Amino acid sequence: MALPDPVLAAYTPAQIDFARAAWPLRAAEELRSALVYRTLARACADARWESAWTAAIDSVAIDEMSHVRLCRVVGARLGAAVPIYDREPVRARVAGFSDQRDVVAGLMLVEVAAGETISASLFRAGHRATVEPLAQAALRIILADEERHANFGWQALSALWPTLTEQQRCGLQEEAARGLAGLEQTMVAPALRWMEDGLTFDPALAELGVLPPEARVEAFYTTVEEQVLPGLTALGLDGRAAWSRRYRRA
Amino acid sequence: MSLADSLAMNWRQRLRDLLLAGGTVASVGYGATGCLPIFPCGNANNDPCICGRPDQSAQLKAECDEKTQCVEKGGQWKTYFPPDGGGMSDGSVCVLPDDAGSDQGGDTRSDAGEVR
Repeated sequence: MALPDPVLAAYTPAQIDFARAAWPLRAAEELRSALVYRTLARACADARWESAWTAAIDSVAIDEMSHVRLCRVVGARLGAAVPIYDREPVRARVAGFSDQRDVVAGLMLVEVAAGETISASLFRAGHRATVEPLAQAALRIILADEERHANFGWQALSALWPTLTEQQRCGLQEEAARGLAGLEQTMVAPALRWMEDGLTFDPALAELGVLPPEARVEAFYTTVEEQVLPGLTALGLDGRAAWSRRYRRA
Repeated sequence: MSLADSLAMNWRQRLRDLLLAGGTVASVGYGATGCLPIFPCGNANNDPCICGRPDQSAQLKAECDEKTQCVEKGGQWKTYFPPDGGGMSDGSVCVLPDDAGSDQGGDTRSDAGEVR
């Protein structure tokens, strides 16, 4: 993978420090995705879903691991520390499901279809504003894969839907609501709080690949409203109800 | 609300909508979330109490309770990284003050006496 050298002469040490810190975090997030896909592949095999889907999920897990390496490489070039990650949140995420088919449906819905659709949107917004060549090249590589993964998630869900029982579909409606709350909490709530606290964002950081809080908020909610909720409804769920009930517990 | 109206919502309206729906927003900053505010909350941070995690699963709720009790006892919530784990951890444990100076070598015992 040929990456350009970083071009940082126009930026202050503080700006570079901030942008540098982002890469281990991106690596950790990509590693979380890889773990989710591995879990998903195992669940597909256990649930005896078509082997072609399992193979496709394995392939996506490999993509995510390549993103981990890419983020580590970019971070290392900027002097960032090796990222660390705890696998417990992924284990805990899976522990709430009662059987393997529920794992497949739940993770495919929240983590892949909805999660990757939003993730692609955030990467797209970040890439659009990035000027620094190394960050721009790395974000472009990840973005292309995330868009493909999002499409894969929706296709896989459409294939899975006819095989689900009515009870499983009801469970998936609840999972959609819980999942949307989780995505909102992890992907956008800190940015909302940042702005609520009146903290400022240095515009130069956007050139270095860091997505400004305002852009994150806009991209997140626009994607939820224009793509995720309609996608859920097209599948057979009630997207609007899932959103409005996202913090209510059955 | 029409889609056009909805899209026109600014961040303050988004925040209000989130709160009205029953959600909360955690404090920001490295110390609170372990991540930059413009990255997914809790990214690379295994703290079970942040980012609304206790609301996401019973297991994370139990872990958050365990961590809270640990801190109340004066302990530290530490993550165990096996040497060959490639940066992956095998879970967190409570290390109480009595444990810190003990002759346990690499043993990271928790109250429950085990490493998850």
